[in-house]
Amino acid sequence: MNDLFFSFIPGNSILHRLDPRTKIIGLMIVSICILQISSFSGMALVTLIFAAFVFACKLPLMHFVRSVRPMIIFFLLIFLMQLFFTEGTPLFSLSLVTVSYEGLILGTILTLRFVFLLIFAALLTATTSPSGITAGIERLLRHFPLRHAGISSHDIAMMMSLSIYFVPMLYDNFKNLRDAQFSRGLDIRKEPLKAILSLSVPLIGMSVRAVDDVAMAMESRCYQSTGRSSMHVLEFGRYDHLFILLYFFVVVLCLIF
Amino acid sequence: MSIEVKDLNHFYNKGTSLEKHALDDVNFVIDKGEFVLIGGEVGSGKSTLVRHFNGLLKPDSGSVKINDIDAGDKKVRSHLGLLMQNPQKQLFGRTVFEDISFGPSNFGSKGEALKKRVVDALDLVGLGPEYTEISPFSLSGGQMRLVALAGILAMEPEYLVLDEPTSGLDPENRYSLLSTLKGLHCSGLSVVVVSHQVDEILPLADKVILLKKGRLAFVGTPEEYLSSVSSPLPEITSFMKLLNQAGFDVRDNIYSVDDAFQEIVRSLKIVEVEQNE
Amino acid sequence: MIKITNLSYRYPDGTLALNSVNLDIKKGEFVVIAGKNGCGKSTLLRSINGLILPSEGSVAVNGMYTSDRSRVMDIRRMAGMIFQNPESQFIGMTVEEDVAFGPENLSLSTEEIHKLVEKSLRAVEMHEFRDHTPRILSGGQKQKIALASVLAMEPGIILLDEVTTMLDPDSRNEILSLVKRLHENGTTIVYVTHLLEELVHADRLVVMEEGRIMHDGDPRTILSQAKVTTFGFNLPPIIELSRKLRDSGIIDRTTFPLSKDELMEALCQLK
Repeated sequence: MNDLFFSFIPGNSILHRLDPRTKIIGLMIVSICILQISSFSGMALVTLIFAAFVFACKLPLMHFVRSVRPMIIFFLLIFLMQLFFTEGTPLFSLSLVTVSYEGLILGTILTLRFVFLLIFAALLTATTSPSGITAGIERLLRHFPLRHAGISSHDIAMMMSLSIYFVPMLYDNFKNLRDAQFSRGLDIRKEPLKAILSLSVPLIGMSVRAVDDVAMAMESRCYQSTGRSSMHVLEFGRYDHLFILLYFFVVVLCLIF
Repeated sequence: MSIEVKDLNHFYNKGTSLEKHALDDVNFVIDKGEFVLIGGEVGSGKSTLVRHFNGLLKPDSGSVKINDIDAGDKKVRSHLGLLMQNPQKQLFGRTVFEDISFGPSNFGSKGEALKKRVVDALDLVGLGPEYTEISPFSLSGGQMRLVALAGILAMEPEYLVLDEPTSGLDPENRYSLLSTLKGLHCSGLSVVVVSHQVDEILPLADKVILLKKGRLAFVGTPEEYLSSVSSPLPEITSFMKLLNQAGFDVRDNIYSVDDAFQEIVRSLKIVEVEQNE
Repeated sequence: MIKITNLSYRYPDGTLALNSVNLDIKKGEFVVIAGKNGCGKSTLLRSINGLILPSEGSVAVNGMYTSDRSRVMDIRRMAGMIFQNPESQFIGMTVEEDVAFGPENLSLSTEEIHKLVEKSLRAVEMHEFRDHTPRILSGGQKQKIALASVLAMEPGIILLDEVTTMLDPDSRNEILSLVKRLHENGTTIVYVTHLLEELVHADRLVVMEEGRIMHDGDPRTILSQAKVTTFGFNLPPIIELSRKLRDSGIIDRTTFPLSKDELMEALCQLK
């Protein structure tokens, strides 16, 4: 099931055709805006922008619900924390805790922020192939003086694309391992310490081996972090310029709200 | 006393565009004491099937019962030991003892009784008691797999289910693992092996179950299997079928090299006699 | 093309993995290196690719020594290597990216990279999967991609390290016939395996034991002369049947059929 969340959905909409760099910069700007907004009218504006994008990329809304779903407990926790632990005008109280009006507002805004951060990120991953994203980030990073720190933008892009492949693989390994130890009568609730040991030791072993293997495969295929070329060509098109222009409006709007 | 699979259906990613009908109305019974081969190609649903045997996966419809207890019941896990693929990678103990005792201690075994179980299990896989105190990570790949098997045997299950137990082993380790399984079966254990290596498991089996694309394609004895199924077949069997097609008069429901040799000798003599006439 | 002289290799912990190995592989040969797990066959293969440097002796590929670090990229480009585990040699997020990884490291132009990716994927008949993520591929398909990734660097030698161990029989046969085709097109093949069934297409067999070479020569001669126990295991059923038929004089002693097809041919001649 985890195959579906934050996955790329091929298509040919305006958003799909945009240069990854435009979309990455866009996500960054939108994220900063979301973190700045603290009013409901601002959130309404963000909702509107999001709705426009979803309409433009013609993706089912369900996809975005799926991206948020695994985090629901986390959201609930944030919401409740704010609800109970914010001091202010009391609304009502339950035996020990008091719910304040400020807490309700703060909790809602904070939860909405996280939800929007996630679904905008899902919008990027749904309309951009993973390779597009890494190529985009690699190109953007070239403008930063990383070389002085001894890292190349290729190294970072490589790390990203390897983790995109490895994280799901390790998750599969973990599920297999958990099943194997369940078969041997492991009860995580009864003995959590034992569970941690019996799951983490083999998992670390597997990860180390996988990293060793892939490092060797990379070496044997002549990996070098400088002077690599790339099969992806990134080019700004008409729409990209339009979107960059749009970003200015969004920033200004956010400043107003 | 049996493993009873009834109208079993399982879906992956149900309700999404990636929905896959992994098991489709599967029915069979494995009786206690049998040695069963579950065969099928990669993706035929074999591993999904055995994960229903001890409740790791729940049926979307239908049922799996072990000795009349629903497989979802945690009690089942001490009756039915499941050894998953690449078990040598699942070891974690600082010593072999710690690792093998993991299963039985989860089911409440302690002290001297636990020690005895560990030593007995090691003995069953052909390793001596001197192995208990060494680190499992210092062993060879083949030995690590035996230790993992001992970890399941120490739970003293009535049914031993193994998923691709020989994959990745070299022929020498393969051979020793197979003879261990044969010994375990002779001592009364029910053994179920999931494998695409028909060659090595078929000679040991009482019953063969074949899955194709999640459906049951065959259930029966090895003899029936050899004469009614076209693939996968042991190397020798498929060679005998080729010989038959080329006009040799040989039996093609055999899998051993010796039988094949006898058959070829017999058929060649007939051919020679005909030529003489 | 590959010249290994007095090669010894010690692991950091002191165990001797290779013990004065001498091996000379000519252009266009198909060499199978067989032996039990831990006999040193994989270590030997890795030394050819320069992933492991000799403790003693030398390894030269096309006259370039692996100990000369300035030539190591050229050696790896000349001798491409494929590993055992299909899960952990995939670099990149899509099939074509994995295949492009090598050419990108060689700093080829975007246009050239696309051409090489296209050509290599066609060679392994995986072209239709170019945009796929590796997660949905089977082990056999992943190994075909690994083969394509090496082909994209246009190597003269391909080194294969137990590439079929984790595959089912059908995928194994597919990989074998791909390798056979590459050999027919002139590529030198060094194929490490513990499965003697995979010997069929080889013109040379090297059997290793405890870091040494025990046999080196024509596969049929070695199989017919050496004691079975030297290999440390049973022969595959078809080869054992051939051997039996040969030993009892039923089929001609000058031949040694190694596959079903070859044995069939030998038997049909008797009819």
